[in-house]
Amino acid sequence: MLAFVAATLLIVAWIDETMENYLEQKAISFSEELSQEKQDFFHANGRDALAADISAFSVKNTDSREIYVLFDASCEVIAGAPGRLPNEFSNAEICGSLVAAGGTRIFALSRSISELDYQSEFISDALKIDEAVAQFAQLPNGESILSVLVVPEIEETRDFLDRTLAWLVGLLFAVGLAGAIFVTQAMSHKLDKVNSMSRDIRKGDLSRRVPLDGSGDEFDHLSANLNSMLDRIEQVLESHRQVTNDIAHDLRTPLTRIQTRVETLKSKLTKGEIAQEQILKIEAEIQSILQIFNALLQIAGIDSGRAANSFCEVDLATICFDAVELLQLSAETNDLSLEHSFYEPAAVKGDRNLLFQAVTNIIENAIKYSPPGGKISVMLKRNGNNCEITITDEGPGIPEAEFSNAFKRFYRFERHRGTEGHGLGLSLVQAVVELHRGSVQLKNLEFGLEVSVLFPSS
Amino acid sequence: MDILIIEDDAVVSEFISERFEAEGHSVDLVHDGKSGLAKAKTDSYRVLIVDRMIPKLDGLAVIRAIRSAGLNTPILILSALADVDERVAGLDAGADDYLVKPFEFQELLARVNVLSKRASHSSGSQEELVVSDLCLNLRTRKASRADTRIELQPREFRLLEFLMRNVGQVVTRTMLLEYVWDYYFDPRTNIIDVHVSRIRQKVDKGFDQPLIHTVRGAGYVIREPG
Repeated sequence: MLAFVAATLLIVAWIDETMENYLEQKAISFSEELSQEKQDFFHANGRDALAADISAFSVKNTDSREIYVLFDASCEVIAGAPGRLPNEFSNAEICGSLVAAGGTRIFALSRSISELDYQSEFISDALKIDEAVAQFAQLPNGESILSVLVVPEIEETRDFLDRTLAWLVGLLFAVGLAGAIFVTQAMSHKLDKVNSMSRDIRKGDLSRRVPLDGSGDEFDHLSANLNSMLDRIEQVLESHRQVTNDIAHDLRTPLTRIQTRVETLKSKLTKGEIAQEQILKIEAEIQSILQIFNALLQIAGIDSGRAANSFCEVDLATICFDAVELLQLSAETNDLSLEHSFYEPAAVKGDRNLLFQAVTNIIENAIKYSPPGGKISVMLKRNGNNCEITITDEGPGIPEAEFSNAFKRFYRFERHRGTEGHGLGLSLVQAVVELHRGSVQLKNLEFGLEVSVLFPSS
Repeated sequence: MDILIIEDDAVVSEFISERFEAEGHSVDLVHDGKSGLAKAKTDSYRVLIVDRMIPKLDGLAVIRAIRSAGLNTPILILSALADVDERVAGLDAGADDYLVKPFEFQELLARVNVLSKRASHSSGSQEELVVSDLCLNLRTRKASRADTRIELQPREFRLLEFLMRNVGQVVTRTMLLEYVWDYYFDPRTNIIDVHVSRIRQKVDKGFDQPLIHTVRGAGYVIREPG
């Protein structure tokens, strides 16, 4: 913006200067013509005729832009109207110094100047034409003629020019400003697209891409590059996930068969045999591996986003209430109180089974890590355009440094190792929440952990 | 014949037919929709297991054709299509149950058993469910065992009702969650078990003959003693 202002001012100054020079040159050459005309007249008609002509002209044209003065060799006025000269120097003074300098001189006459530069053939830059331009020429008989061109228009023209330029500058500013705003807007619009995409990607939606406008400009190039970079990242992640899922999927069938064989084997053993005890343990191990695979595959299925196609309006309050009701007994069994506080329906677009499973998982976690006698509360609030489910417990909480790990697959906190579970519960919660375009946050309370889940309401 | 399996995946179909036979069921196996429909129309089965994505005629079309032919044979859809609307579409077409692949055989077995039994005696508008000396009055919503009143919460009543309607049949945790709580997913923890043990306390505590039993790796069953 500053550069734009500076450039504009520079251009205006240049135009001003150029125009002024042009006008000056014009005035100078015109005054030269006038002087030459009188000199030619002298040569053609003689000195007396010239004196008569100048006298007649001066009498007739008292307002003329042209002024002529004929001096004799001792700088006395012979003819003309020296009184009209607009400078404060006496005629004799002008004439005397001009004669002393000799030859033809062009100079400016101005009330505002205090000094005349007779040395220069041309009007020096310091002596700007203010009102008149004069040409002093010595005649062959020792007399001299001063031809003056009064150019009040210069001032007016300059004023006009300045006004025009002022308008021009104003217009330029307006156009420039509008242009700048437009460009900034267009730019920030384009950048917004990139920003919103990167936000979505940070939230986990790797499928987002910057829309290309096909203009082929730098932004389009940048967007295309970003997109292909994202394609690559997605490919890598996808193949990584695919491998995990393939392993889970492919190992399921043989594991299921092993399970079947073990069951068959078990039925052939009689109770109390040591072998049967071992078989039961093997069965339990296989069961837990299968459960991990099932959970992994379910999360993979949720991540695929297919379920979003069958979203319908569901009431979070009902879902939360049902979850609390379902888990009430588990809480009581663990000597915990499970309370809820919500009264109004909260409609969101979603999959009620998945939402129910997610809420259930969070409450189950709270139950698992709460000390006996603790309290777990489930709250549901409407927050503008959002519905927020907050579940608090009075357990040990999670070290803040581990918050970002909490949702990782198979992540288990140091203090929780040795307890039951496979570290996929919160991963499923996060997958479900992301499927619903919501967000989940953890917060340590003075005593306990707060898990809040935010859903956009429908 | 007990069960007709219409499934094109050789591994899955052979595995489940093998398992069903091991459980004492007789099984017919076809690999495409057309021959499946033909077999379902000509032979009589107790339960049909239908995959959705099968060659020649897709699963839903097979089911619609079977239903419009006036056959009421219970049908279970076995499909990799897991979304809610796929499930709804399957049930709308006339299926009685929907199990998502991958599944555990115990789950499939329990569901098929429940379906085949439902067909054999049309329960409809029973007023009272009785298992041994346990009595559940569906009209007055009262339960009693050996003439002793059992106090049940509404949810406990539904749970016991579901068990008793399927007396002798194993019901899985997923089935209980589905029919009693109306949510569909695989509860991988003991959230259902605590409810069942509460019911067992109310029904079986103080009696020599327990009625409700845990079936390892599968679920629960209520059965006549002896």
